[in-house]
Amino acid sequence: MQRNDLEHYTITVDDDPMVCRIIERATGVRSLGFQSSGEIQAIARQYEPLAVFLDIHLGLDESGLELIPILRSQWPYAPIIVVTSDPDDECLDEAFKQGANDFLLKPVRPREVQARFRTRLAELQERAARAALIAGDVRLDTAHRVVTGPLGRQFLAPVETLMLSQLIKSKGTVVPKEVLKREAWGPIHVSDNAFYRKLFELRRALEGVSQTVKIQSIYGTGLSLDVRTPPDSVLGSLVSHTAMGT
Amino acid sequence: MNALQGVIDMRLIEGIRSLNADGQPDLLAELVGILKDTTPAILDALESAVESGDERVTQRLAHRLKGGSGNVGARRMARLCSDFEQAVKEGSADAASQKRTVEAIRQAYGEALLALDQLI
Repeated sequence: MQRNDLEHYTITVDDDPMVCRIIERATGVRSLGFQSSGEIQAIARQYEPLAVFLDIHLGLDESGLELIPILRSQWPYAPIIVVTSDPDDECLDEAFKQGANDFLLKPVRPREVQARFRTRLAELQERAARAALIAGDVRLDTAHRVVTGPLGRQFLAPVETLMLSQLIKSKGTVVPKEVLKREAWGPIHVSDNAFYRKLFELRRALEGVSQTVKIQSIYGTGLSLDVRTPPDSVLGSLVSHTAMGT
Repeated sequence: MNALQGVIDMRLIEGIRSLNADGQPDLLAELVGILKDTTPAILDALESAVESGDERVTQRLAHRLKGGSGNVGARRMARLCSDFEQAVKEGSADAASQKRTVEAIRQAYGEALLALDQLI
């Protein structure tokens, strides 16, 4: 099994491996340990942790502070809990400014870990649920870049997530290709070739999960989300799927 | 057990023990194993940093030792490391006192191991 295939896990970034072991036992959730900033940055894209525990002082030269904005953009709804041995650490203010959600004091005390983990997780999961978009039998979790439907679930690339978000928000209208490019890539110039490759991937992902939602090309104009009435055979699963998603 | 009081934070030990569930390895034993695996090399590096007068590295290594010892409740060692880190940061420890402190940290580490081995 690949490490990123595990359903639920947290990530601990601390040069002291003990911290990862204590956090894992205290939360009851497996924690993947990384001891340096470089190590976690290299593989962050492969993971979707429930929460991140991050030491402010890493090794001889590194600071966990610089990692916070990177991890925050990668995992918008995973609580980032910084770990420090000094409650008056000036770095704490900076950590919160950079996007941390909470902090833990060293030595790490199990009850404190449990309380902060549960509270922050509940808070961010609630926020993530509010960020979900629904069209037909499809539910897009923008936080975790996952699209689900009666046929299954698929992980999307960041650009595909932004494209689908825009199409869902503009449901019933035609979105010009240039608008979709701008929404997904920002000001970066993107070739049509690259755009259509991503569109192809997105269509394939939708086919893998949905029986009612398709992306239609309107020649010379743009794209629109086509949401059809679900066939009778899937009405039951759609009802239970939607209920689960709310 | 009283002899342990000054050396080990027993409340923290109880907290660690409370995390042992049926069928799981003893967490305290696991943590003490990590302490034994990692501390000697850090102590040696600390000694070298003090010898060469590298205060930034000295401070970081003292910080690292403070964290590791604190995690297993080795409070005497953690306190020495914390005071040392602070003194180096403030520039209030000369070379001779830094060397003495490293020796004291080594002793405290030895005491902590003796005490922890009784608890696992």
